[in-house]
Amino acid sequence: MRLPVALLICLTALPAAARDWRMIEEESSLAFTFRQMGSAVTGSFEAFTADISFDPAALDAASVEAVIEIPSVDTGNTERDAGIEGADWFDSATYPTARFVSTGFTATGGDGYDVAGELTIRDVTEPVVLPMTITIDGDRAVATGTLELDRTTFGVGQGDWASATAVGHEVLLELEVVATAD
Amino acid sequence: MRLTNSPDGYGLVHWALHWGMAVLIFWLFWLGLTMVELPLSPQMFEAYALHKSLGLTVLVLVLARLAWRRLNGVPALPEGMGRLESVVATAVHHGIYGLLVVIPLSGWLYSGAAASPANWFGYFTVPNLIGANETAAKVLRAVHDIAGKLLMLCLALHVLGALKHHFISRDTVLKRMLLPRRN
Repeated sequence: MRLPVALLICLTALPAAARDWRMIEEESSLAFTFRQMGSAVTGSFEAFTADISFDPAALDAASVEAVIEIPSVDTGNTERDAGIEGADWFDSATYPTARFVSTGFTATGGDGYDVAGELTIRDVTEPVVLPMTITIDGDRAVATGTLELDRTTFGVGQGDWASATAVGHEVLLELEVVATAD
Repeated sequence: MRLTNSPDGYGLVHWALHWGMAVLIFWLFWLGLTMVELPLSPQMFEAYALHKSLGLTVLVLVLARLAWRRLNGVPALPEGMGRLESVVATAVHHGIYGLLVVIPLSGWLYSGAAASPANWFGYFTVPNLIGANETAAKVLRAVHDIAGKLLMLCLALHVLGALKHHFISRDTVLKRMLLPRRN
């Protein structure tokens, strides 16, 4: 009977502080799928970081800030990867990173959360809501979620590429972040 | 018009496969040689997609044609051909058929290795035969390219042979492929 009482005291005594997490890069992934001439092509950004503060009991204090390194893109084809980095697409020479900064977490039941935030790609910042499943097991947390974006919202694919004929507008992001408590 | 081949003439099926594939193959050569010069652009993607769709079509047609040959045979080579001439004619025919399998197949494999899946005129995506692999992509592209050049050479010999039969040997080899058999 001692432990629950001690826990209760701890919980009530502590301010509503979020818990800090450190992302494990090797286990985390950021994949995307788009259509090229009608066929699905999958790629990923190999380098990204996320500063995460999260405690299900203190959602108001939760926050995440993620930075994605555009030159780490890998679609299994170096010629295409170079194109993706080019001026018509991500223009990584001018905008080397994309960024997501959360503005609020909402519990959606169970392990589900809607993570609202601002996503910046190139020079366009748009509000997005990322539905995530976040499970915490001791010192280890796993967050997964998918988000469908329209690449043209962010000016990704300019000039002739703005048409959806060769490369579709919809891009499906699949995110898996594995983190350990700091 | 007869559908099947006979010992001295081609039926409508073989005739249509021969000339349909001839058109497709020249279209593919032209696309293949021009698309590689295009800069990364939607036009380049469209040219590659069309090349892949036509190439897959040729693969299906050549398999159908090989099956058709096996089922009802082909007209014999004309009498009076020398031994060397017969050997060369047969070798060129076998070479053409072999290359018509190797070229689309290596192209299909290359699409997978280059992580750019092929689909058939936008109707359906064909499965990648192998996963993304840059080394395999380089090798397959070289195979596709060299086999394509060899096919051009074989087809040049094929056309020269047909003209030789018509104008020098004055036999029916060219005529029987120009017009399908009537009886």
